[in-house]
Amino acid sequence: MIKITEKELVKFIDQTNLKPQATEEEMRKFLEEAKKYDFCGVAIMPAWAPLASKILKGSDVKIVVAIGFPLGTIPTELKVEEVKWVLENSSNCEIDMVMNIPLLKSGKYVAVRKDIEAVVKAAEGVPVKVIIEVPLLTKDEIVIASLISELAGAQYVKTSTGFKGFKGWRPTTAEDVRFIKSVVGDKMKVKAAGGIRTLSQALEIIEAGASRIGTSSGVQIVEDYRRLSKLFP
Amino acid sequence: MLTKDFFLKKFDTSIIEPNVPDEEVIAFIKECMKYSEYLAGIAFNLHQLPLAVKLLKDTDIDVVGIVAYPLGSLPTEVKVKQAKWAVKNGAKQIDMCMELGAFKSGKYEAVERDIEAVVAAVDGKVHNVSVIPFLAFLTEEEKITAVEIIKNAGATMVKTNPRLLGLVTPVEDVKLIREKFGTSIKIIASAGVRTLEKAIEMLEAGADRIAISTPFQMFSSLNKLLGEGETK
Repeated sequence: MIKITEKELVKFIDQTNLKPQATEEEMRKFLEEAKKYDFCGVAIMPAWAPLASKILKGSDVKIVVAIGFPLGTIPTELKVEEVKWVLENSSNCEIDMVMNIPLLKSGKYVAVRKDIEAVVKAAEGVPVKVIIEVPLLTKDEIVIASLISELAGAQYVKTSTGFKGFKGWRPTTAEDVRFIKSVVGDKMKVKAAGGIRTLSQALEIIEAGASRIGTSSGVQIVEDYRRLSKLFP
Repeated sequence: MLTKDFFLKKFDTSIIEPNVPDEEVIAFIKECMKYSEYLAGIAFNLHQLPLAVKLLKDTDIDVVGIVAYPLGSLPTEVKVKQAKWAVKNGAKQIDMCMELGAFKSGKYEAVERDIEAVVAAVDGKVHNVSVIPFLAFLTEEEKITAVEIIKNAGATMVKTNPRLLGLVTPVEDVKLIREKFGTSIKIIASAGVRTLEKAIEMLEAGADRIAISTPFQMFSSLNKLLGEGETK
């Protein structure tokens, strides 16, 4: 038996399309689909935020915009500029920013915190998720990155960009989520992203304590849910 | 026979992984300085660019600022701000990603304006603006259209593909651009050039530069090759 309703499941999902080659037609279809399935959000690059605002007007699907994506290494003032642009050109949005990992790896924790704080401030109350890129961090670094994100006033720790080009990349696991949850407790939510393609992965990750899942396979996951919930009523 | 001259200032490299601490960047730069005769430019994570500029100021290696890298899908205003920031902090070359999504949607004018805006923002302050059209995603006809747009927008170089996306540039793409555009635009062959043999093939096909991610291995092979050539 699956202990979650479809209505609950879809509200865990940020349906994601960050492909550089996505055409306007493809994005329109993607956004219409997200509206139809009533996902929690759509995760997209800034350039598509205006189109998403137009198409998703009147729905409660959130427009989740990737900032400093996927490297996270643009200077703080440019992350702030990106956020400002997004707020001016998009409605009902959330910010998924990539943490500056080289700063973290250089032990410049105050600078990492300031980078996030500046984005939180620029976001003017819009929820901010901090992508810490778990596959590239040691366990200690995951703890530090999560705590810094909390101190800086972000709402979520997000596990990964899902960007496979980085050396050492791997999919996010339920164990990653459980570990981050053990660090931040109830003070922060966790968004799991990166290589989550199936319903069983999604359910395992939700059980581990994730509040949100970023995936480009949201439609497939919901369709599988529909099929399986008939087989295991 | 190929001599050393053939390889001078023919390479760009980069250290833009998202997890390189400053010490690694510094060590990388020091190693690069040993090969400054081969290296034209080095690209850095934007926030580490000021550090790089400081270390490379007495060399003739251009510090490369990356804009909308590696996805391209940022609004023009944001790209312009990134480019201005890079130049203000000492970049002598800009490598920007074309807005592939808009291009694939047939919005050629918008793509050209996007590049023009970045070129205008850095005009006269850099040696080159290179634009990355993601050739691996384009049909042959689209490749020619993209380079035409890049050239018309005032960029000086076309860089075939971004690294980090797992794309590879076939030598035919370099030949195609050289054949259609002559010397009116410079070509940086990038993505997947891992061996000296491949680099030489690209240069012979008409590439002006090769972007590589493992420079030291390649330069040491090159020195060996040239050394052998001299003693014979």
